[in-house]
Amino acid sequence: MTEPITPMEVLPMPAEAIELSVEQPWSSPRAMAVAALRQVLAAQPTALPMGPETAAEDEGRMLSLNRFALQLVTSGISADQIEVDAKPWEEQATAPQLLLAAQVDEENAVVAFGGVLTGPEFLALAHAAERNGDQLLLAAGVFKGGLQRLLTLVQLLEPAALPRLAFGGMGVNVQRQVVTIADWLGGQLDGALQQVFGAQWQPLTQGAFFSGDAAAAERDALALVAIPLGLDGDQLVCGQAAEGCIERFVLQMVATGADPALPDGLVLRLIAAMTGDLLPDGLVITARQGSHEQRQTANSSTHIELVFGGGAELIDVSLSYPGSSDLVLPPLQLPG
Amino acid sequence: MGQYQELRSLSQMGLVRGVPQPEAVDFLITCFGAEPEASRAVDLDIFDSARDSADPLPLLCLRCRISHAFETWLLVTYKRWREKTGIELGAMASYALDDDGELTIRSGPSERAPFTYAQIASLPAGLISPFSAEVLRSYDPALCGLPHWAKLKIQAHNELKAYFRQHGLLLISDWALLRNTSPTKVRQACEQHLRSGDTIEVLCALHRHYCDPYDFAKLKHKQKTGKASGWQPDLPFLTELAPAEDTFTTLDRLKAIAQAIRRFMTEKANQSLDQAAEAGYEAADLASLSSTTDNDSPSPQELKALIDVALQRAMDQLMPQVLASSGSNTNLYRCLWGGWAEGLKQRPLANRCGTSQGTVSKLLKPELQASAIATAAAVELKRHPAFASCGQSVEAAERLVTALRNHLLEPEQEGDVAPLRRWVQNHLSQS
Repeated sequence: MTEPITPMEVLPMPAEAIELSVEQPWSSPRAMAVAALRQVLAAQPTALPMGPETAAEDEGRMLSLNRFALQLVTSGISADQIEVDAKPWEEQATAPQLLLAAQVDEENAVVAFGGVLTGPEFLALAHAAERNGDQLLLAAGVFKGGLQRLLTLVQLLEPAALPRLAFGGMGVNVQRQVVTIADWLGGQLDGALQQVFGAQWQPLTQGAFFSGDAAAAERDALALVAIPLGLDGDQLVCGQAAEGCIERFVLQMVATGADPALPDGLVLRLIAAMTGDLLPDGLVITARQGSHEQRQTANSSTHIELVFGGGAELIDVSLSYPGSSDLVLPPLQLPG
Repeated sequence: MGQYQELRSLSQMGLVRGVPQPEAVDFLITCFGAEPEASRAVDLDIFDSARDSADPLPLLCLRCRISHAFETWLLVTYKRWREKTGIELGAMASYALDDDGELTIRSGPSERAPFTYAQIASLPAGLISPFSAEVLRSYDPALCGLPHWAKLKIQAHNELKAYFRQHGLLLISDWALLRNTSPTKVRQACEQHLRSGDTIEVLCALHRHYCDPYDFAKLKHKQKTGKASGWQPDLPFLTELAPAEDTFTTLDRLKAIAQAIRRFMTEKANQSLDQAAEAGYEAADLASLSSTTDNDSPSPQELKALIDVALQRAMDQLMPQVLASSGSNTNLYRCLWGGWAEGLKQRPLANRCGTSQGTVSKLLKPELQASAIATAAAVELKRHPAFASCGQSVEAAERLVTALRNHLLEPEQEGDVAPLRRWVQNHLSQS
């Protein structure tokens, strides 16, 4: 029999939490988050200008930190989901470069900065996020690195290195922007796949990437694109967000064909990041081409794969895991 | 001895002990013919007696009853966190178990009056002492059982919150917890940890309706009191939340959900600790930092020299401020950093410096300082072509800072002293 769990009556204060005055009547969680941010910035050896000077506490107001456009979102300190106002992301001109999550405990006057998402990281998550009106609901755990990550990025990066990305250009609509698989043969990788999903194109010497029993299936391999994936708690994440995960795996997408200039097949394979590791049980890959659907679920599996033999109809690929939002790729297209 | 006739109280030695109350025993025997077992029905009988009479004894019985609920709550919290945070049972108990069983209560600067329900109800708003009086005067039997009310009130005790905060703990009320938990997590928590006769569907539906009325009621509370803490649901709130149910049932269901969430979070927290232990420390890799590979790029030795200079400059710039920013705890701060520089872990550090592990973890944050130093050094290194890529790529920037931070905290070879420890040793020996 399992030992009963004695519930925690108090919660540990998150590392690097900032304590504010309990005497001050704070007008809102955002006002507390702004005050905590200013407190940290004031202690930095290098001046990092933050604006606006006034009205930074106004809900929805975009902040500017060392020339970076910063969206600040708040939640309760024990929250597992954070609401993000999606309106600024509708247009490139208003889209933030960074999204900072502050978890605020109003009862104890404590602010913990969960971490930061860059524009591409946010857009990758926004695809499958639950939506409530203009609010997107993201798992609190997807914000990584605490305030230190924010300080690192705004001090080291050039603002131009983080372009403003909007849903219209690269976000939600990216799901309908078709990715042409034939482009992979020339080393071209669709911008959305690269920036939003962290996909990496790799030159492929035919069959050299694979070993063992997988080799036969890919003797006609023409190009390989890989998306790093991970489980952050129960949440599926991709690209850079996957790098810090303990459970990491890769989606390999291999264009295949007998004609070196014309792919006529696609292999979708999930493998663990570490050779020989098992994939997380319950991880599902689903791909649909027209009315033909293939689905595989990991169950003590080192790899799972789906093979498509051609056809010009779009191939819709999604990944799911119990408790996580689905990760949906843009449609892939083989030459007709 | 039963819960109505023994007062759990804090002794002058800082220990929690049971103090028998013979007058309470006499009252119980007169009323019930025997010393009753604790139950809601008996609570209500005695509470009615207390409200209807000018006799302080029924209230004394309830004060005893509450003290047992307080003690249980305090012990659970103390046992879980004493090792990590250094919280002390005596200090915690001083906020809740401050009732000495007197039959009179302070009613003015130098006046005392019988400790009756009418008297405590007539006292001005604000926290009154002992804390049991505050619990009893605000208790409404239509809301919940008395022990649960005692727990809700202690969760909202501002001074106890402040004590926990000093030790790195947050006392979060059930109401905030319910507000901040998503429907998905509530369902998971209920599926795994529910201890209630209600179905999960009923509880999830109740939770779905909770957030908007809570936000509204909390806003009103803030406007009225100027404080974000201390809100408790009242009858109108519970009636609005579930008009078809009696308010007692509604509060009981909210309590069941909150407990399931707390168990769920406890389980997750334990798993995270296990995972962190398995994950270990990210390896430092200074050799991989250069972004250029052509023949003009610096050699590994030249890169190492650049890095060492940048780190030294950043430590010289940042660490003196860190070591000096100790306020009234100068000696403690020096002791902690000095012990850390020698390689002491938290427990021996706490022993050496005469403080708790909680204080050590709160005051001493070498990883945080190392990250700040690494970032400052990286800003300098970025000007060199070999590190220029970290201005253009998130990944490169983070890789550089992570490697620098790890280098500061980990010795290059076995037997060496990590650079940050060495710097602190040198600085403290010279000042």
